[in-house]
Amino acid sequence: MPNSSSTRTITEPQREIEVCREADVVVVGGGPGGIASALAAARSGADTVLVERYGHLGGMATGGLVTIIPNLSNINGEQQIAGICQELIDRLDTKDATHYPRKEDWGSADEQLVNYYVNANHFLFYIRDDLNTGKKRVLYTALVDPEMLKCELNTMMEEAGVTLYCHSWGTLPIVDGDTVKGVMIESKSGRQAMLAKVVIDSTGDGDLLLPAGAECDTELRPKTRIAALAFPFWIGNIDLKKYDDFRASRPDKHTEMSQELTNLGGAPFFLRDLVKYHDGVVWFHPFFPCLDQSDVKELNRVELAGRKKMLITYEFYRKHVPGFENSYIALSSPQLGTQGGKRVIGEYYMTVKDMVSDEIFDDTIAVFANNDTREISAQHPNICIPYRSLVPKKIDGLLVACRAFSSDYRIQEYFNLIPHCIAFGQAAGTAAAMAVEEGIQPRHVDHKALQQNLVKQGVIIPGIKEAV
Amino acid sequence: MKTIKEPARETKVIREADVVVVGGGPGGIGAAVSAARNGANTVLIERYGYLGGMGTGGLVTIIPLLTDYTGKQQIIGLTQEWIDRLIPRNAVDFPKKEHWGSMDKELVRYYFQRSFFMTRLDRVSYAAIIDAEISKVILNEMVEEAGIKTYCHAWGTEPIMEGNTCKGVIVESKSGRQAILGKVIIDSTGDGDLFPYAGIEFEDNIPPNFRIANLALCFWVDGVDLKKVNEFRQKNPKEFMELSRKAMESGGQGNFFASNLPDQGAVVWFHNRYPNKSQVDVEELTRVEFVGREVAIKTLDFYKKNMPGFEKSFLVLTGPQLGTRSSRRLIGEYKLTQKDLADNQPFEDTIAIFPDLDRGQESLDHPNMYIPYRSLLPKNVDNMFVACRAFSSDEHVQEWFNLIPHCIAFGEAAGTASAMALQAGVGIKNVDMKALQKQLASQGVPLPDITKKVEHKYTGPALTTPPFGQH
Repeated sequence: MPNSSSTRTITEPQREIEVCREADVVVVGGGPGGIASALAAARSGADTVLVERYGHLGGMATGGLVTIIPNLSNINGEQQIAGICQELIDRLDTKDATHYPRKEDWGSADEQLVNYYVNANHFLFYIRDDLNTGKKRVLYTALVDPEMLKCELNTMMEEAGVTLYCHSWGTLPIVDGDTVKGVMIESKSGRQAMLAKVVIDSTGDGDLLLPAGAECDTELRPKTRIAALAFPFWIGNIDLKKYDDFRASRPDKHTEMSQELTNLGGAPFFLRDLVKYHDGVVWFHPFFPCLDQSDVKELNRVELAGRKKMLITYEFYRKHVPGFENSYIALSSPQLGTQGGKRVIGEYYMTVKDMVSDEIFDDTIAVFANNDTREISAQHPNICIPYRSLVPKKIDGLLVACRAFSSDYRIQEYFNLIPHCIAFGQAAGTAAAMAVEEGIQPRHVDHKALQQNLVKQGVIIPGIKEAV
Repeated sequence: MKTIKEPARETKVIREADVVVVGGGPGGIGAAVSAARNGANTVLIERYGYLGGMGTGGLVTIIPLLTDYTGKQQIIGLTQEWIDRLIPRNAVDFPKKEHWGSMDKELVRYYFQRSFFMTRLDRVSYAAIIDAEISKVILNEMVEEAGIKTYCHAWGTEPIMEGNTCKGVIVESKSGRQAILGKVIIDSTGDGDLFPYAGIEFEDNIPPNFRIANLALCFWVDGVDLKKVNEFRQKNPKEFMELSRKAMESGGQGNFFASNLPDQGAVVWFHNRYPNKSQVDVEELTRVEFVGREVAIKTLDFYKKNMPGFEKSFLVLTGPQLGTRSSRRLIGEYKLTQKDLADNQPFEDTIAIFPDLDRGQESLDHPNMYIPYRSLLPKNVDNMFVACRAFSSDEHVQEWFNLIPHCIAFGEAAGTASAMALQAGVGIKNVDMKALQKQLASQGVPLPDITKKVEHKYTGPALTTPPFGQH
């Protein structure tokens, strides 16, 4: 029987869709970008709705099992991202649900400390080579407990008075000419419409951009980190001491096993979970090359491949690796680990040039530590982000607060992480509320006033101090 | 009620198949695998990234009520295949076959301690406790082996209707809004999500004191020293009960059970019930996500502080899916009602037998429920099945027979019949029942002798334990 798809279409008739809500700001997507947008907008006085397809908030930080919030400081130990991101860490701290180096150790080259993180396999997240001094130094990076974070995010939303629609898929934007007026959602309640003065696309993949008529850059280069989907999973009930003893006493056997597992199609490399009480749990984050993370067929391909790889890995560890005899698969990620995709072409388009320009824009809304580009990082430890990279050209009523911000693929490669998206969200949410209050379009929000508001919220902006 | 106009549009068809199954939970798996294995070109659509519905993402992980009180296994087929595939992976626990139906007091006590689902009516009952993660893997294997085209991360929204015929469904995903066409469409959404758009008659009244009136958000706590917990419980039963009560007072849950799966020795499971206005109201679903998560945190906090053995525990997992129990119920070609619970003879079109174990004495008087093919058929649509808990039943029948193995059985019947109907070139309402039953039997589905009346009179010992589901 023929299986192939056709270029056939069907006609869906015109219809009336019930408006279930009218708000000031509707945020589509409850991941890092979305939660920050919603909190910032609501706290700034806007009537805010947050739409999320899953039952939980946090996106990659929770359901995606990424649980790593890195690069909060540059290699010198200077914190660059605070604001809502720091607030999350502070709240989790009171519940023993986060792990990070002490403040006095940020930027430290102490060998014992460096080795601690290297042995836990977190050297990609906590350790950097300082090309200026030739030493390895510790970054301010935080690991989080995803379940506690889900709970904490719920509490923060309730406190801020955000209206939540979980289990709701934000599908098409409602567009009138060049202005976005709202969004259609699909849920168990059926297809409904939400109207808004400002819509914030925090879908990660910029799902609203093309239907809204926004210009996008879709280039993704193969073999880059972001041209891959991840299928993370946790294995629990491990005797890590036994494993460590084995690894220390028989390093050759350990290497041989890792190779054997790779040959079998498994993923030999795991990270330790440094969060308190989690010492029986380890994390696997295998990657699968994928050039289009908005293609449902590709998502399916990786779901199948990922689960297969997980099983091969788990069964091998159970059978052969000391310490794993009584282990079990605690959890495969409830969400696929998505990383890269289209970006809006906004009022400012960030490129590699911005990594070396050291430009502090008039509309800087965040500063990111640039820790990952070796020689460039050694000379240029920070990069500023302008508000205009969240604003689509031509299209009104819409802001982008997720990894789909206005950037080329190189910039997205380095600055699409959880703390970055939180920063985009904090700026977009604040700006959206300001736009609504003044009855103007988001692109006309006063930059200086926006910066003042952000600094008051604890966001670090170079050269801007809170006005007295 | 304010509305806005959504203009007409052309929606791209991405696939045309024989059978399209909407929903990859137990019903959907049963339907898709059965259809595909019987030769139909089959598509399966699932909103989450994995299959299994309540059995996996819902963290229910219990497949109960497989034997009737005499110990005879009445649900086999694909349900047994799911269990069989878990056995070599050490990912399932169930009572030994030779013990099913036993009234031996020691045995019953032993199994009750392992899991209270393993005993019913003073007897050992065949119930399987399954590993959710390994189940997700074997379900993928089953659909791949059967050659089913699966679309995970895809929300089946509306059926495409042309008069009394359903032509397919509209699907929303990261790929956008698209259409999948089919000759037979199977609603395995659990909630009969296709009903309102297809004009299919349904009812949704649920008495608030029924089990099915509740949503759940299950969660697991790991890092528990169960030996310490059990010692404390045995030595200080009063204090243990008191702590459970205090846990509830502090806003948490008082009741948990040990996982009992191999290697989950430090894991305990919490299942719960949250009353709600409707399980197909997105605001209610969201509300329960919040309440459920709050209860999970309060429970963890309380137990960590107060219950010996929980000092180093942590919340390893809250359900990736809400635990849904019931919403819409089809009003179909035959509706099973309370009357059938008392006086149920095999129908001519019986497609499954469900052991009746949860109603105490009434179960002893009515050991099995017979399910007719017609309870899966909407009245006004020619080519659609309902293969999930939304099958045609009143609230009483729904209360007892909406579980995982039941839905798999609905799926097996619907999927097999779909393929046979297409091959014979007839409508699904005109499938040869004898041929269908013969085919189901060859697939391992136990069916009654429909030529004989069931004469049953319970003559065994009086019950000593209360029914599981007491109202």
